[in-house]
Amino acid sequence: MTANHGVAVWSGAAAANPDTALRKSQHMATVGPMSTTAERVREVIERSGHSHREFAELVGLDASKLSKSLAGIRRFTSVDLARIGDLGDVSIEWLLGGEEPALALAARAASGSSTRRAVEAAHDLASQREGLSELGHPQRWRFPLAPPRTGTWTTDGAHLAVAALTHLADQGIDPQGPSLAAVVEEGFGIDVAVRDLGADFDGLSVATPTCRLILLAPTAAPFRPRFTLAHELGHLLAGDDQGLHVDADIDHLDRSETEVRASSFAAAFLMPERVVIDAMAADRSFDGFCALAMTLRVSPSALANRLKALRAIDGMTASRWGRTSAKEAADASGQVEALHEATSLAAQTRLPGLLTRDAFAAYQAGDTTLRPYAALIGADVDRLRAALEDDAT
Amino acid sequence: MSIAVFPDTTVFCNFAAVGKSDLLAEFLRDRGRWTEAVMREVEQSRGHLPDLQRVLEGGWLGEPIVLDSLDEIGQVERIRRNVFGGDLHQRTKHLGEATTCHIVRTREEFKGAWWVTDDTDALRYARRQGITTMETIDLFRHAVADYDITADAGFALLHAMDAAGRNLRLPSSPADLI
Repeated sequence: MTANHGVAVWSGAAAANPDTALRKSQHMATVGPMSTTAERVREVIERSGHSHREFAELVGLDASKLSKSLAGIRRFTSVDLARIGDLGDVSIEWLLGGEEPALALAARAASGSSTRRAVEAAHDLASQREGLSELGHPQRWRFPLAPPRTGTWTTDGAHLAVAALTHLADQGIDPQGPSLAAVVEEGFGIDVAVRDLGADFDGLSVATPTCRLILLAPTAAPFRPRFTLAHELGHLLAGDDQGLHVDADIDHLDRSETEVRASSFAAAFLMPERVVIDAMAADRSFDGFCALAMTLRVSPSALANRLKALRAIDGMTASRWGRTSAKEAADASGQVEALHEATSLAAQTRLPGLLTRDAFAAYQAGDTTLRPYAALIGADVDRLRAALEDDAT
Repeated sequence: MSIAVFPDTTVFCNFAAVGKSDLLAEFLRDRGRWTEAVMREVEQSRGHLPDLQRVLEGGWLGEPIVLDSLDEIGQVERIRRNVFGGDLHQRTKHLGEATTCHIVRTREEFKGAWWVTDDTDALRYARRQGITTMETIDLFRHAVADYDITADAGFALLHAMDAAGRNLRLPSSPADLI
């Protein structure tokens, strides 16, 4: 994987990496936020490199009509703007004088980068969330109150993890269940999707006014998605970024304050202090260490680091045990089946459970056709309808 | 004033597929209307259904209804995406359905208008929204009742549309049209 560090795409406290290709696109800079539709269309034409006549032909519009619309004599129609939007790859909202949806900017800015597919997928999912919200089916996320700042980001992350675990315990949810994605959806109301989005991507989180989403990539590494998911959860619960936060490579995060806090959160969330201290007190052997890693579904290296940070083992032991492979840990603890289960789960894609549920509810309520739901689950709408309406099946 | 009837693009295509676009004009009796987006979809389909040219040149649907207020364009875009699952990056996809839905729901002059479509999904949604709907088979039922066509001829035409690859509800016998 490339060493693409945690990147906040816009705004938020952690807009940390000014060099990223994902920073807010500047190509819309020539018209101001209060510009008219005609001015924005004019900009699209200029960027296209076509003459007005050529552009009119591409849009399927009479050249004189285009001139009149640009001069403010004739108004653009819905069809005109849809075709202009397609040609310029700009949203209807932006052409109408509004703000370009932030994720649309990010998706465009990511064009050509290794994370393009991931950012585009995040944009699509967040747009569906926004649409459902407009139709009266909003996402309902439930976050614990963030504890007060302590002065160190590592401690803040650990305290936030305690708050998150308490939040889950209050709802009777076991965070050590095999599917952390299901735990995050049930306990926090955050959408979690796993999609194959290219090789150079671990995970991202989205926070818009209508959406909280974590998007992960499937992987052959059995415990990696749990750590990435917990890391992204830390970003969202801490309110690090409004917009999009991409962690292309979870192993090579930068040392910015919010990354430190999110990683600290992930460690404390997946390996709660009391649980690991009690386990080590009961069995300080290497086999006991391996059994604990398998029980918590974390990599031996992550557990060794955690134990070292908690001063439960010394640095030399952490260094030695941290080199244990997942297979060695499974063999030593007799939990080969658990390793197989984790490996299989990590390699699977996953639909966002809450989003699909809400999309189906909107269809059931008659607020949408079946098409948005079918698209979300990747089904042919006619076959899906036939299957749903066929009593015999 | 007679109630307007808005055939969806699929309906125009059904009649064009059997070379009977003129028959649709006869069925609609000057009540037919269309939006600019539907007209453009018909234009795009005439490449594989040349009979649609007669719809475009016939003039029996009047001037297409144009949406050009920013507020309405924004509303239609949201319907297109949120309701009909229109793609973020293909902004004309489902625009005909979205504009027609918007028009019959919001424009006073089209209150009570009929929307004709053979898309089961769109029909279900429209009915839940209180829009009066018809399918192509219903147009034939009205035409048979009005003596515009016999039940036998209507039955044959609907099955000819099916044979031409169109996707629509079919009568099991001519009596279904009576």
